[in-house]
Amino acid sequence: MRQRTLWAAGLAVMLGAGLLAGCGGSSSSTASGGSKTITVEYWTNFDTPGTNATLKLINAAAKQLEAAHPGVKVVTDPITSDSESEYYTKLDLAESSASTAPDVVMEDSFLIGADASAGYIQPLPELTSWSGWSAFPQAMQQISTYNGKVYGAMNSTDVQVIYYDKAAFKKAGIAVPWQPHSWADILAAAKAIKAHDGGVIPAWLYTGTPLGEASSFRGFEVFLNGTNDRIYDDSAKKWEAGGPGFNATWSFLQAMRPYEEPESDWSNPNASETANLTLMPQQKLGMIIDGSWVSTSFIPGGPKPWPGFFSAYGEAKLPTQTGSGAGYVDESGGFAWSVPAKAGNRSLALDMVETLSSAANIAQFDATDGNLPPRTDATSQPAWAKINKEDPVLTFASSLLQYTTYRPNLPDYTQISTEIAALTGDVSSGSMTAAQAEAAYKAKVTQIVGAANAEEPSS
Amino acid sequence: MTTGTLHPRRAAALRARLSVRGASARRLTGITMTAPLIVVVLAFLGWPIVWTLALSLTNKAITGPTALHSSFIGLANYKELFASGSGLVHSILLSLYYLVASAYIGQALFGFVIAYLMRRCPYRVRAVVGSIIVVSWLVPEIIAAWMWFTLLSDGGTLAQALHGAGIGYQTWLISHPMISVSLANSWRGVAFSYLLFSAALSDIPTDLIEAAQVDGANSWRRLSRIIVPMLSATILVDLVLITLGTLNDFTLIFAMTGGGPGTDSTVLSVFMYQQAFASFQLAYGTAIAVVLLVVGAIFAVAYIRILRRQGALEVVR
Repeated sequence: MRQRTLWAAGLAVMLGAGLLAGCGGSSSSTASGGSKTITVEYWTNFDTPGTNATLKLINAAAKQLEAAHPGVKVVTDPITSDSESEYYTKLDLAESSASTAPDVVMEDSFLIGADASAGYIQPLPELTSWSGWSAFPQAMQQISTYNGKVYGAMNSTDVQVIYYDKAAFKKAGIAVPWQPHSWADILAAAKAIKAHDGGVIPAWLYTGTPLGEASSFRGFEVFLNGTNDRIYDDSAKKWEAGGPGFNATWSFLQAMRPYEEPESDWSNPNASETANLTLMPQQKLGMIIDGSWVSTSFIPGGPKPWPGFFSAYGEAKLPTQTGSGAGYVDESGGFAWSVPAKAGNRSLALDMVETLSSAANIAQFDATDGNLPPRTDATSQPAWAKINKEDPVLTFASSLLQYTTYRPNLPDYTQISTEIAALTGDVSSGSMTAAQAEAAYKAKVTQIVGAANAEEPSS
Repeated sequence: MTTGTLHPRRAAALRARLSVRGASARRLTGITMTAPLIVVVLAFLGWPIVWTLALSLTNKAITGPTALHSSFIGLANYKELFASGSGLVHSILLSLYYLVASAYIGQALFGFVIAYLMRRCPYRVRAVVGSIIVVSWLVPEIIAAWMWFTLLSDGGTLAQALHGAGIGYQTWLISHPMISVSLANSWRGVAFSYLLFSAALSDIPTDLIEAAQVDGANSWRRLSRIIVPMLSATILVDLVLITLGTLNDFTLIFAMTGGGPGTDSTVLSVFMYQQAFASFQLAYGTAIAVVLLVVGAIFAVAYIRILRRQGALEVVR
């Protein structure tokens, strides 16, 4: 009898404690006995497959933060989704409410403007007085800045590279090493490859809605930036609703259509994995315009170890339309660590951002994942020296940062980018001509930003 | 209990009083008993609809300046939606195609044919075939979608099998996306119509059909003049249920084709998702949801009117 009472009492206490814990278990900090929790939200599919680089980075930084702040606990909150836009949606929805907002988030740099203007993430002016800040080159500081306020610290960046298959080029009678000096050179190479080898896709261009931002960024903007037009006119503070550069880009994409991958290859969300991990190792691609991180897939311990990659493939810079200006052009993206406006513990979150962004952590992370480090002092870290030996493409890629440009850090960019991606697909599938794409772009941009914020084509 | 011993006059007076009180009491009981249901329907159906309508009149987005501070913009979303080139008409037509091909033909007609043909089969055959059909219904939708994706995709099961037989295969998911998803939905949903029809068929008295046979009605006449009219209520109930299920279907199409290639399989539900969550225009996507609701309501009202005319509404009540 007595024993039973004891059991019942024990059970009641446990239930009560459980209930209380349940009530207190919000995602942000809970102050009980000095223990504090901060949550870090990240995208599992950011990493080069199989590396788990982001989780490793957060765990390493968590240990350092927990050692510096006894009683603090870092919790990871992974978002798993194949498509990038799904990650953005889930992240934005989590940030929109205090009950779900994490303390530290991994923001795609091109969304910083949109999410800052939405009030999802908060300015972090303290970062500019942080000792590590000066190690970020000005461009890397600008990319996480919106309206003059810093919203995060970059943890990775990249450039776009033309990888070309030396064997296919030699077979087509093109001398290697190859460096195109205009779009015409790219087209001529694609034509020659098609004429000499029917089994190879002459040029892989990212295109269409399924690949979203990659199609717009890597399949359109890297070309547009090689003309005199830009998506956004910084001096007039208006979106360009078309123009000669746009015309030229759409026409170039239309001209490339017979030489690019078939629709069955690009019309699914896993297309980039097919290109990088299946078609490249099979040497079925003449050339591909892709991120600088792709080569890391082939190092020992990568998702597709293939020592032959570095001799089989060459890398070339992206030319401007006619070779004018600096002759080459590039565009960079990358992710940053930011703090949601509704984060539970701002000062700890800021500490965590700084810890995640230390030179050693950034070097280790970007070396594991094949990104370019956004801090200049990261390249002198041991982790970076090791990867640099295994993956010589990274040295080449670092040299392209001098040509690079960034996407407009503005709220309307996301919608405009979605439209560009859809239009690249329409041109690739042949359902639109270059002229129709140009007209459709003008209509869409004007509709999205309003006629007052759109700049009429100058020609 | 004791009414038998009452004086007849007192009993009549009591009955009269009871019936007056009874009417209002019954009404009260009726309201009390249905109140929980009404509350549940209002809370979980009425309120979301009102909320959806309200949201579709704003400029709320997932990100950007109007994410947390949206404002009322009247019918602007609808104006944009009904302007030419928005893709709305294209999506409505694809939704109707999906409805006719996969629900009317693939599920209702085909389900009826199976049930009709199997009605005379020996019990064992019916049990075996019936359970095989029902398995397709038990498979979770996302798994069914994946099965069909692996069957029809480039280098998938069908491509391999045809390749082995020396026949070329043009990836159906790309060349015929609407046929692909309609096939998959027919396969998945046919069991429901089949079950409904085979139950209703077994309820038709056999002597009625035999009498018609004796009178010289051939099998087509027996089917068209006796069996189908007797099943009309079941047919309509089946159509009501599968129409709404098919119009609102998202998972199967999204998992198989993602609405593509291009917009070739972007039915209304996928169009709504893309605008709301891929283009971050939540309110605009909500306006598409309202259109979807209206299309579904038009069908529902039409069915109910037909049912009512037939006096068969009791079946659905």
